[in-house]
Amino acid sequence: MTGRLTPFLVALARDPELYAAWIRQPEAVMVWAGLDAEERAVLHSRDQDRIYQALFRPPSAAAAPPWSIDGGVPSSASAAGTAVYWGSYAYPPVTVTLPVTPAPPSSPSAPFA
Amino acid sequence: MNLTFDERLVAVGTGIRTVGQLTGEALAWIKRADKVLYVLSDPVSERLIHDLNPTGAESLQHFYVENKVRREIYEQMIQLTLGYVRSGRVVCLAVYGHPGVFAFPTHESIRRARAEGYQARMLPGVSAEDCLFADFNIDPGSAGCQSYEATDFLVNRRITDPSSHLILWQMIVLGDSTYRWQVDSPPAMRQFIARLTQQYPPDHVVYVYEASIFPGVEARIEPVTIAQLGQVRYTTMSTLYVPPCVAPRADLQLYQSLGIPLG
Repeated sequence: MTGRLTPFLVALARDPELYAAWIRQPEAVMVWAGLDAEERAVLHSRDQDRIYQALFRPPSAAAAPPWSIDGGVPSSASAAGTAVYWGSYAYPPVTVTLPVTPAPPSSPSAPFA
Repeated sequence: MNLTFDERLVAVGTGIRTVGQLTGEALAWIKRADKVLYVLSDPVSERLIHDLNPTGAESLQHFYVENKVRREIYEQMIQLTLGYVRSGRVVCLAVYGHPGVFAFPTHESIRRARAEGYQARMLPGVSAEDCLFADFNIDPGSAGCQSYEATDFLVNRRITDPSSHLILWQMIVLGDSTYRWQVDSPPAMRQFIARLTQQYPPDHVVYVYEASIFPGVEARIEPVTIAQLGQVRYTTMSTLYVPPCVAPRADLQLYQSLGIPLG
């Protein structure tokens, strides 16, 4: 555990651009944010109790220093792909590239009944 | 005339799932306030409040003590809030969910602040009921909807319509005026089941519902018959949803005279 789980969720709450990127590519964005395998597994589990408990777990001794929203772009996010604008997640705002999976063709939206 | 914001007290909600349900205006007032007094349900929203307002954030959670009378807890929160307002600070009272839904201290703080001449305002948030409508895919406009605090429903013999949706809140403190974190069976469950079965069959399926507080997580939706309600685990987040068990009784003559098509 790196201790980055709570700040990552806080960043999602503050920044809809980041949230949108996470919805599109959860794993890539979590890697980019510096979450370790255990933290990513916690969020992948979709288990509320497990997430809740993980938020109280202290970072392991070998963990990187606490994550900062002012930090630069981790190298893990440098694979070729579509540019993502991170809005207020990183300040000053930066543009990074992430691996991209092609989006499915959009279905025509039905008008509200 | 210049635009000014003279509010000394603003009550906001962070939603049930802060990640995604915190409104823009709530966020703005949390940042602007001199003091942010908060009651929140998870460490993410607490951390968010401190990030948004590092010098003004102050938790009210310490007022909650197991077995303490809730009215006393709320009064202490109100007194602290008004104390900061009287000292000239702009106060934001931030609670999870909607600040006006099952949130006595927010309503009462605003009432008293206004009575003392201060500008006070409540901003809407996302309540558990809003989440319930979304998670169950039900529309209160389709069958009507009645909503009661569970103890109120029981002890005040509320008249309900079994052709409507029925939502009963705060199951964990059913028949109990003290604060609880988690119970296996609320004390008045036997009477509660008896009351429901006056209008619903004992095998009518109802749902213990808890909206999810984290993104990507499904809500807890536990189907159970009314007769089995005493065998379910309830937490502070538990709400009971009772679907209609009968169709409404249409007044065919009125339908006809008003020219409303049936169906």
